[in-house]
Amino acid sequence: METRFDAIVIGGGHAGVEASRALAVRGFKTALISFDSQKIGAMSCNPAIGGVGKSHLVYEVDALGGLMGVAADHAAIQSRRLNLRKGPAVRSTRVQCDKAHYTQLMSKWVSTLEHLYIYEGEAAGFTWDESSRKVTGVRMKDGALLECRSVVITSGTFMRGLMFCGDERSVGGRVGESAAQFLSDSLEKIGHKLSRLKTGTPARLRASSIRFEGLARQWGDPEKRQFSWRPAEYRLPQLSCFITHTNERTHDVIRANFGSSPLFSGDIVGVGPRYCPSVEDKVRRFPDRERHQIFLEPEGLNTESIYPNGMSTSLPAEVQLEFLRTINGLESVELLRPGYAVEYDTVDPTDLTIGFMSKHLEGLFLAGQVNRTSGYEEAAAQGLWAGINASLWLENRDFVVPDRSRSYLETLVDDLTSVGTDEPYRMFTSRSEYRLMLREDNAHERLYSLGDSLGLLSDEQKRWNDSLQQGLASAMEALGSQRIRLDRDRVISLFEYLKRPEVAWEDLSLELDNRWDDRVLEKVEVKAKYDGYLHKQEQEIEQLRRVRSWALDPSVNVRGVPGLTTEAIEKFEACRPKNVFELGRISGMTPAALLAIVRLAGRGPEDVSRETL
Amino acid sequence: MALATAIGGPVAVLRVSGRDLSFLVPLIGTLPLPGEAKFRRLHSLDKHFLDEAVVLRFQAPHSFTGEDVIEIQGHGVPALVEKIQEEAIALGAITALPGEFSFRAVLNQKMTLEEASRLQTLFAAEGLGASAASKLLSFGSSSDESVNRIFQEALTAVAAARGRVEAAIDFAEAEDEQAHDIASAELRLLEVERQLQGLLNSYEVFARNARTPTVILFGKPNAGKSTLLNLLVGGTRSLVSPTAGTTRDYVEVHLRTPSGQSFRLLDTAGLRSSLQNVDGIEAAGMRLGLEMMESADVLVWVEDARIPTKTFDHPQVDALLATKTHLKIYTHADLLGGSQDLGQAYDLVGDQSPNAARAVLDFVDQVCRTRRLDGDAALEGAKLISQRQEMLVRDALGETREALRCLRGERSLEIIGDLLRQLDKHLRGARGEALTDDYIGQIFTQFCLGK
Repeated sequence: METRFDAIVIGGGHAGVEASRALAVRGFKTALISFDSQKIGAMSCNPAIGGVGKSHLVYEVDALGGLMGVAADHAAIQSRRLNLRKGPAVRSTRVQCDKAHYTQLMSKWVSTLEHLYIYEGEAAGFTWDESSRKVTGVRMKDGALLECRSVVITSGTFMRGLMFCGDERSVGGRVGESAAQFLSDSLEKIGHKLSRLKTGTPARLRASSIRFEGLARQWGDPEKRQFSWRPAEYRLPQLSCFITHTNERTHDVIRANFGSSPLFSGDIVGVGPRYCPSVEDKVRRFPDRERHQIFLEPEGLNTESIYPNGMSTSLPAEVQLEFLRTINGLESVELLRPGYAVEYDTVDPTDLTIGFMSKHLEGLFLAGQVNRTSGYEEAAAQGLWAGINASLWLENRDFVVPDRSRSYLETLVDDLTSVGTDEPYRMFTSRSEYRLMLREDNAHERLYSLGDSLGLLSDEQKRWNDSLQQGLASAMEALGSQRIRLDRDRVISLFEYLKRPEVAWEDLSLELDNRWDDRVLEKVEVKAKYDGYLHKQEQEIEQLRRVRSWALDPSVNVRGVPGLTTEAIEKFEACRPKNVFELGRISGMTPAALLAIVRLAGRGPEDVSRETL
Repeated sequence: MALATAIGGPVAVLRVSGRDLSFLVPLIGTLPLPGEAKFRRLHSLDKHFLDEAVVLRFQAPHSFTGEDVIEIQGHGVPALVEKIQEEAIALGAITALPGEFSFRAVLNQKMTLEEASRLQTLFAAEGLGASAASKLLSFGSSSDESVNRIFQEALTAVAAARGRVEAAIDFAEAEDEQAHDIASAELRLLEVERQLQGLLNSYEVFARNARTPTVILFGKPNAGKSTLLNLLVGGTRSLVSPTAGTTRDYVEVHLRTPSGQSFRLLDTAGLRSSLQNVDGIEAAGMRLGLEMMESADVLVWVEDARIPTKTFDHPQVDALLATKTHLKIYTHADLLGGSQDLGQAYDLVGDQSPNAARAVLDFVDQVCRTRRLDGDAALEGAKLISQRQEMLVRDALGETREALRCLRGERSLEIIGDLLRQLDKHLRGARGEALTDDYIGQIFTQFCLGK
């Protein structure tokens, strides 16, 4: 058994998978530690990947060579496009997956990655060298010691995970699995302040006990949309979801049992996500609401399990059965297992650098739910970021500086490390001030040069990207050069014509032979319809980039700069910012102090490439 | 270092601001104690006596800039003042950029960007009445508060509208149909539009009152404009300074009427009628003249009484004359023989010439009086008084209108979301919140930094 690695990733969830892949693909000998090698990339909660804002993350992970998108494409049993009429930037893809299939694929792909070793067991902590304050390895619960230079913790809900179901308590991060009891100790020892967050999941229902007749059926889109650039040569049978509602009787049962809810009794101290409340929370907070919507979502092709989306709860199991049976269609429902809440340890993400490395210990990285986020997609995006930056750290290179105008992934990194969060952080499109630029359709373009420069992309992906770009260029060329006569006096290019709100791509089919694929056509239409707005936003970004790229003299003495707190001076001296962007990220830096320093140390704008800024 | 007084007065005040001003010791002797005024003999580096002066010291942060400030009050002899400045520079002082004292005060949190912006307005508007000036300086007054209340209400309304729009986008599957109620966003924005328009209207009232009125002399070449200008300059003692124009095509002087109203007087290049051939340079001069006439407060048409006309025979000028307040002065009346009745006809030489100048001054006075309607009362109603706020509110109003157009039209929700985000940012800026990036933008655009 190998015991020496370049990097060790603790946790085989969505974050751990992407972190391990990035490290292994970049050639680092990497160990992935998981309780169970058959549960790599498990979907612990709902059976869907994507959704508004989240789907953008999946596209971005795919653009950097990640696995989440392609696994979801393979395992999809229903695919839907949301927000179709609300504008191209917020159109989002949501895919229901066969959970077992998804996990099998992930386990298989990860186990066949070169340079990657899967290590089953529980990590009981990490070791470090006190004098250099660098991580040195991972201690396993069975006593084994694994050596490495870099550790990535992607422990999800497993650090001191505690599950609640009525007054039952069980230790674990997911039903049927144990918790990582000792990892938290290591983090606290090096100086991280941990705090508890909470999340919940609904009961799973037996499909054969549900009366689906009479319930509204939700079909998937006939056209199945893909996340990944990889060609699709597979297609699982497609299933429908069903919609039902709670009613006053349901609410009565829930209200009568508020007393047995660990959420209201104060037993659960962790903060849960506001946008994903438990059903008891909804009933309490909106007493006037007559009903709440429930989506009945199949969890796979070969399982009876139905996920009742919107019904997460930690009420006692018998109460869950009682209130579920008041619901239309669920009159004689049987539970495969009850819902529960889980409370777990998290770190404050502002204690991490932009590369997700701990500010308390060099070589230690954290990603995913442990950084106070929620969601598979948010976890995957962070895992990828931590993996990339851990590999750069192993090469003695600078971390990638997050560029909010380039991706939601980097927006998330910037939000977490600069502002932090008090509740589980979920991605929304409204979190980005560059929303019009950050679309599903251009994710691969936005991140291509970053992925390419880091060596994250396969030759096949690069070829695909090249042909997409060529297609786009030829379509733009054709639209720009061919003209259309509007009336006696006015002749305009097809591109100008397409800018009109009432003109769709299909209207041009007489003028152009349709030799481009749908991805190209979507991009062209967005370019035409949003030309002015995009141009404005690009200018804004360019201006900001120019200002932020102003280089600073790092040797300048800032003691005595008026308005600068001692804390800010110390932080300045500790990190010696190289430019205005880095300077602005020092916490406690007031605008006035910032200007004073720029005045003192500014060297003027430098031509800094997009990759470093 | 900056000279605080105009050159030519009896006393010259030189101010030096910085963190450590002990470098000035060779020039002024030991530094006075903070808050102290000392009589000092100033010496050059080679120990030559320069001037006698009163030297004051303000200690950080109790000064205008928030830094240590030394103020040297010496005799207002231009050559001497220049020499003292040279000595200070030799010792290590640097000449302040325009507005740098205010800028440093902002940096050191002695004043906000908004306050600095109002000071700039104050210094730029020489014709400012006392009431307008006081208003500019009364930071945090009740009118400031009422403006801030309007901004706060607008921000709340925008936040509510944004909430609706963003919820409709980000919770596409959510059951809460109220969250998708976009119509209420429209009502909110209509109210914002009304409020912002009110603010802009009030700024116009203020700006009209605060600005130095501009009077333009125009007419055909050789009609006598320059002679009239010379008469006006000679006939008033309160000439500020004759300034050469930015191009050689016009001359600008600052004057005051006998009743104290100050104004800018511009003498434009002669305008020919559009039918005549003009060369490129002359055409450019005429274009500039026309542009200035567009924004002028009073037009004075100077015409040779021997060749009187009804119209100017130039479409743009005639259009301006139809809408703008103007006075027509006929010149060369002495050469006419007095047989024709031309109203205000003057000869610009001899005993009668001061009458022409007086006619212009009286007319300026009269126009300024009527334009102010009820004077200070109009000013009282002005809520928005700084140019910085005005620009931000103008942006915000534009975004509100476009968002409303989008809400009624076919534009997608994400565009509306984007407009509302910008709107929020501009309103915050107008209220005085400045984001770091905005601050950075300010310094790079307004102050020439970088070494």
